Amino acid sequence: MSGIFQARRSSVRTQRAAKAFTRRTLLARTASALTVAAVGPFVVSRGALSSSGELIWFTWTDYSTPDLVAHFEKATGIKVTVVNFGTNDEAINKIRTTGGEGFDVMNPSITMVPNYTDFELMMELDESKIPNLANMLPAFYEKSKDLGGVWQGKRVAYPYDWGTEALAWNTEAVTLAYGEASFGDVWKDEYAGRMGCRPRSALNGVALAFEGEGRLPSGSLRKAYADADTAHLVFGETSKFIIERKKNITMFWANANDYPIMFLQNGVVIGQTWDGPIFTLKNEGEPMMYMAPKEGALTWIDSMCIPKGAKNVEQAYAFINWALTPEVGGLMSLTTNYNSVVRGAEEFTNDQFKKNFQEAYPGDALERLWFYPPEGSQYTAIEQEYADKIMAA
Amino acid sequence: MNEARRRLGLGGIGLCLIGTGFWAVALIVAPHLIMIDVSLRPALTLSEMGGPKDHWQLANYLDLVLDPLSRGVFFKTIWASILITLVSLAVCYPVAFYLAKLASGGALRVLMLLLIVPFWINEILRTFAWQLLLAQKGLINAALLGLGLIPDPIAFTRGHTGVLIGMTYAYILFMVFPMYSAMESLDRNQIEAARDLGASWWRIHRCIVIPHAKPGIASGCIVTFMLAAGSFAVPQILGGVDSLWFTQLIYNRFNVSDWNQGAAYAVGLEILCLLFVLAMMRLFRVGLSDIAR
Repeated sequence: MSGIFQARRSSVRTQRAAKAFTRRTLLARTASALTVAAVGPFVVSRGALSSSGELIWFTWTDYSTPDLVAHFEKATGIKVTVVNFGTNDEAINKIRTTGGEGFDVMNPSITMVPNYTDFELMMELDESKIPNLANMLPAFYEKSKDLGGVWQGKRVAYPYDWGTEALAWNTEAVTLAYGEASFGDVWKDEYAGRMGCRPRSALNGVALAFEGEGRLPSGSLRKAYADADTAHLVFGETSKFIIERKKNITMFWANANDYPIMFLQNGVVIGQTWDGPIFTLKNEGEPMMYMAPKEGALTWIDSMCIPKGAKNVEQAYAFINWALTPEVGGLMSLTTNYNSVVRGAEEFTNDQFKKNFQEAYPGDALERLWFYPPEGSQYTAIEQEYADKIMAA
Repeated sequence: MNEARRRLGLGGIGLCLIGTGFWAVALIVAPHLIMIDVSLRPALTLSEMGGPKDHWQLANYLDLVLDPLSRGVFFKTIWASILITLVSLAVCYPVAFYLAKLASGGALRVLMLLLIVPFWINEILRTFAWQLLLAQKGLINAALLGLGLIPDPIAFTRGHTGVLIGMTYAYILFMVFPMYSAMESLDRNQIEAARDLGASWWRIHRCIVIPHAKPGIASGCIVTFMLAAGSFAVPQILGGVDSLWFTQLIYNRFNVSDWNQGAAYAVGLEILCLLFVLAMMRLFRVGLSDIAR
């Protein structure tokens, strides 16, 4: 009896609702639903992020390859959300805006980490939670301390991978030999209208070429990273050189995504670029080569850090341990074409990768690698000032 | 007010006021105040914040005025934005006139759809598409080379050409639609009367269509100018080695963790754009109410 009564009541209610449901209410409800959908994420994010079994990986656009993500999810059972950045500056701005919240593990260049610790944005890492540190090549473990990995005696970053910025060229148009090829070569007039570079790192490359030629005292660039006066002196010279040859430049690149358009679409035959993306082009059958110049390739180490506001800290440690296994080091190398800091990772790469590596660093090139020093915000600002001059000239 | 009360009720009016108030205060006034506050402080590290150095000063603004580089880039951006506005106007005026006065029924609907459909795609993607079209080995150069019209590929994206084309395309709707709606209200008989009296087509446009469509032209130009001067994606993607936009300079300041100077530059750009637009409105004798029409 009561069941029938309820059914009747509900049907009356339904009818009433149907009558009241006009186009205006539809519009109003859609609008409010949209508002909730738009504002929702801000409201719910805090709670939603803290549930276990998740990890937000904040990394370079070419680092989060599908194979790596799938391997991590399978190995640990943790679900990954990838957020990408294209430059170190972009990454630090995002972390500064959120106060270090919203990301669990990230891969800034280790020399940029002081810019984070200046604003206390990085968590101190607990070495006892990372047993796989034993797999790391000791040279990288040690070197990373002075390059930005240790802040006020606390470990805040461990190396993840390394790579270089050196000479890339199209083998159909250019021939370069190790021992003679220099960072200065890309500026030769014969490549006018066919060369590409990045303003900020070009300032570095030309500085090393100048040191080699004796136009700048040896060690000037290294000193520039620590001393503002030297930085002004060095970049004053190198920016003048570049501005005089500005007509030679076809394209400035900003991140790894620009290389295909630069070399394949815009007729560039020589440039100062990162290594991995050029190896990728090479592996795809493009007539490309990548090699260290005689001055030594500009060498960076990208790191693994946990931002201060990370919600999934245990998962972030799981990520670091996972990344420090030889198998993952090898898979990382194969899918991104960057080099692993894990001992034995090369056994999990292939002949193609090893061949690219040997061609990139022949002879004494590995001993001559020029490691970027830690970069304070004062240095970054000076370097950008001269880069702006080049772009505005 | 009574009309509004009858239609919306007191609650409705209250909601409107709260909504508008929230929009004005939380999304316009407050962010501006924060930005102005940031722009007046020097760039400091965490330990220096709240210390003796942390006080208002004009250094960031003085830099914009005194630094020849920033000043140069700033005026170049304004000049280039004017150029883009004029090119857009030249491209869109015939389109708007055709849509408003010549096209009929089916053709009008098809043309409108053709104008709007590309804008369902994200602006960044459209700009990347232009990058491929304009590249030295891109479709346009390949076609021109194939037809034997040029001996060597043109470096569209090296200088300003790419940015000019990209922005004219990106903001075409903002120019076409205000002009279209202004021209639509023009009585076609006026044009025919002028023609019967022997006026040339140029005179018809100069004396009848343009004066009538002036508010539409003005609002189209103002919106296009503001969008062009404040654009970041197009110059970043299509801009060559010789084209540095002022917005990129602002972005670079933020990139080197000098948010303070970046904020000062942004405020400077905003104020000067505003002054420029007000000057143009006075010059062409258009009021704000004309534009909002």
